[in-house]
Amino acid sequence: MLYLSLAWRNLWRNARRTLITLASIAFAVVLALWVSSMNRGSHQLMVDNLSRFHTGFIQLQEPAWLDEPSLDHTLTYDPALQQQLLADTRLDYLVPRLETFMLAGGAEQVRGAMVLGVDAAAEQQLNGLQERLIAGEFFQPGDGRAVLTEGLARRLQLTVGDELVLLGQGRFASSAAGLFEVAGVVRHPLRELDNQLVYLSLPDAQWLLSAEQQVSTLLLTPHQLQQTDALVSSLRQSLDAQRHRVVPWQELMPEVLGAIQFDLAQQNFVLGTLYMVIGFGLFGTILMMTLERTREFGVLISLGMQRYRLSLVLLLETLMLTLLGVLAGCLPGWLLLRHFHHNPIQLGGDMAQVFEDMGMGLEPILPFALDADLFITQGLVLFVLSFLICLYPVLRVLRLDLMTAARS
Amino acid sequence: MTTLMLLAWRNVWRNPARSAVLLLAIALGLWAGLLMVAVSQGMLVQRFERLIEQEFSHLQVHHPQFLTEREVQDHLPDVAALQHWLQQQPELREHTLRVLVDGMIQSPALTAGVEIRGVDPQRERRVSQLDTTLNQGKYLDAALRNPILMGARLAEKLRVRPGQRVVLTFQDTRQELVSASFTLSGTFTSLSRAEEESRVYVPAEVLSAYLADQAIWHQLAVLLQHPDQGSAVAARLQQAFPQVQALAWLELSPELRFLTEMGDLLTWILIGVILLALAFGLLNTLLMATFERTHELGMLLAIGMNKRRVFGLITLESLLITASGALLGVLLALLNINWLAREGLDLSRFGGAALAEFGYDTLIVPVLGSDELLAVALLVVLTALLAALYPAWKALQLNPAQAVRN
Amino acid sequence: MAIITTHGLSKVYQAGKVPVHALRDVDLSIEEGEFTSIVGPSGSGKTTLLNQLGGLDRPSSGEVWVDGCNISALKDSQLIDYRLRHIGFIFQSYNLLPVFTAAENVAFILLLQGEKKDRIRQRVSELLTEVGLGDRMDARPRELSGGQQQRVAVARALASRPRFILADEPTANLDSQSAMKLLDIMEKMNREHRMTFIFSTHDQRVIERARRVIRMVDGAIESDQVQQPEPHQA
Repeated sequence: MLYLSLAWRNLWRNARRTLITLASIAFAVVLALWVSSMNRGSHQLMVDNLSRFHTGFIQLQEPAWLDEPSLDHTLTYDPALQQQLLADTRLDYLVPRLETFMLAGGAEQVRGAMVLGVDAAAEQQLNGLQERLIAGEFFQPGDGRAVLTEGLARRLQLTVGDELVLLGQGRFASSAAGLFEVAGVVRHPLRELDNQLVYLSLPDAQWLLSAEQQVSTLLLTPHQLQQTDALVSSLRQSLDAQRHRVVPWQELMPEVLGAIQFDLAQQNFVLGTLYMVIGFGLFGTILMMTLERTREFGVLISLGMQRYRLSLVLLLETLMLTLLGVLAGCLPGWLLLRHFHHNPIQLGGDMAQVFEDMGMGLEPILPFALDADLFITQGLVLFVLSFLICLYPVLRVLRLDLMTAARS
Repeated sequence: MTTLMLLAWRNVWRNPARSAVLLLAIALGLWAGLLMVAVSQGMLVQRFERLIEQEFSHLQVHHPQFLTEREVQDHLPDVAALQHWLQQQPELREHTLRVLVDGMIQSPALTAGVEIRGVDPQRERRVSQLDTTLNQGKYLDAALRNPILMGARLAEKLRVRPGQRVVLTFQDTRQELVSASFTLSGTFTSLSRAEEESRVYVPAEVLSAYLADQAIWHQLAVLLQHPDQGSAVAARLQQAFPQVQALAWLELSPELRFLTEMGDLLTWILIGVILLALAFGLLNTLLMATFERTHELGMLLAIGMNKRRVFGLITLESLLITASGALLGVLLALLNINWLAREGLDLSRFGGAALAEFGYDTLIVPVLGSDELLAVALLVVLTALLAALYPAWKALQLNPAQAVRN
Repeated sequence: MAIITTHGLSKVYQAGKVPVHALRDVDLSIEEGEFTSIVGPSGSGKTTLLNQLGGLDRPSSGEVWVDGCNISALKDSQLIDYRLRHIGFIFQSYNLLPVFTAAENVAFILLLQGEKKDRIRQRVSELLTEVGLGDRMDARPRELSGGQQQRVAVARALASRPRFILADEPTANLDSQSAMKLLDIMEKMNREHRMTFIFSTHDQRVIERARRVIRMVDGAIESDQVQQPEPHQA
């Protein structure tokens, strides 16, 4: 207790010096938090955007679908399955899709097209599809109408009210042909999809393809992105692996996961550099502090204070200093991240145009994550780092030459 | 000025350990920053070369509506005149013509959408080096009746091997549906996953014959002596042939622009963060050094060193440490980058394998332009000046009468 | 002719909430060539007075005139230049630049004044020889004794050819032998160059060497006497 109060008083005897050191550590925490939050934020946004417009967060498939994504390997989607899945409270809602490739024709033109049987309400919830309507309206389930993407509609020279012919193969090699009225046209943010999508209501698609109660994939949306992994593992336990395959976005879009991992490697390089720069900067401050206090140490030892006791006091000082520094960094760090979390950096003008031209449906912003684990990780790393650096005066005392100390 | 310089230099080295530590921090920060710039520049340069080579060439000519509509009947007019004009341009290296049509491909296993490219096999290999990307079978085998080349991933999905047949279905210029059977000649790999899953090549004359009565072409792809000539030649061609659309690679690829600009933005943000950390370390040390020398600075003010000079002294000290550190850092970075440029940096060891999915090489040759080097160097100097501001200002606040005494 | 005159010079500090009167209505006149000591117990206002004379601090009221110029009315930047060109300082704790040699410390002030390089070299060497350090020109302060360091400080103060030199307790950190030696040198400079010296001290032997002794108590001048200095036995 005596040591504790001695260490505490030592810290504040030269408040200016202590404040400078504290500021060094706190600033390091803030910078490291900012970098890792920006990285995490952009990853989450990328996964979120791409999952919503591409594959969904988790897919339920018939096991053979992976090797051969044909209508022969569809999933039976009945109320029983629906009930079983939605029993898990982490699951928000289900998005069923029945997809196949067919020829789509207007009066003059014929094109290959991806036909998607969807539940319009569920799609709306997943990616706000209906807000992307540029003409007409969405169909009602089973009303025999279709919605086209803008690129395809232009190629087929079709507008709202025209007739669309779909021609292809249904389930088990049955032939499929149907006539649909164009109810609306949407602009899809993914450029490659915008040129080839036909949306039908799920019942219409099931009828057209002779696939009653069948879906190609069932997209599962968790309440929170972070729950994906836990949800996947419990689904894998509760569902029959012979009949249902559970695939998370990491497996659906391995290239995105890979890109994130590569990005993390880059982030770690930057963080490593940051730690190094900060570490050296702090070490410079500590070196000067030790030099200034060498005489004091010498006097204390000469007066009969044992070295280990002095070291202990210094160790306590170090511990308090680094702990305070890290904590002092967390608060402004939190405020900063909160600010950027709610006001992500908007990429204006040219950059926004570049994002748009990319046609991947990514928003032109640099978002920031506000996850607790960021604070824990960065706080811990910087605590250990600065603690090690601040050990220098302790080591110095253990090997201090009294004669030099007195002269300095 | 020289006296001030001398004093600043000696002051920097009065505590060699402290200065060495700071110097190292700056050197390492700069080294890391420059390395980052060089690696991302290297990635982009390689990406450029590959994309331009395989995808865009330096310049492409289409029917004005073709790029947006992709209609078969939007084929190039006056092809012979175009070719003749091109051959008179001194910048020309190679050119080739292509027939492009979107359609469906069918195998017993699967039906999928594909982009069909009809090419002149000999000219195509000289422009896009398509033949070098084969991993199975042969390049558009002349011995086969209707040879077809497809991406390895597509072949896998369709479950076909060289020698087996697939059916292509597409619309001809009279808007009639045409189906034709082709024999798989070989498969190619591509750094782009999408390309490997959805593109097929067939001989142009075969495709053209199915589409129309006479030979038609949709795309003229041109390689020039240097990529930078693209815009100028495109402009000249546009003037000579207003009835077509000529675009240089820059306008052809929004994705390239995205990668360039986004990569640049992020790199500079991160360099900014590193510099900020450096500035703070520098500021703290200078501040401590100022407090430590209250006596001396007070004496200097007392005997008549004016404020401008005191300010200059501290700024100079900051600049000297920073400049020495920066020099070391640049040297380190240049050596490192040079070595990496010879060995190549294998990013697959750092989780970079996924880059291939986006069409990147994983073996990176870092490149550091003099512009980037200059920009980083200037930023570092600016950092040193900014970091010196507060300590220098603090020094000016000293009351000489008090400072010299205690 | 008086170099320095003060009129009603007062200085009040705020120590917490209590105003402290460090100088009370000091009227003083210093002639060219004086060798004057300001004495008094600590807290009597010696240093405050010297700071006022040296333009390091501003009076609360009253004026300081040097060579017919009211330095209390100068702007900060003018005051700094004034100190550089007209006043020499010797400090209690020497205050040499530790990173410079003896010669460089002396040369420094000349460089600040904008003197030419070759003339500086000659003058520095003359001055250091005069203070008995001709053979220690290239020594750094920490290689010199306290007495030697203070002699470098004297050389530095002289270097700028000031109108007068102010020395605040110049011998306080020195042993008596070094102190006497320093006084010898200051006396010699006073004699040979007619350099005016004003120094504060509370060392009796130093007081005895002055020709004029101004005694201060509580910020006011208590007595002001001209005396016959004790000849120094070397």
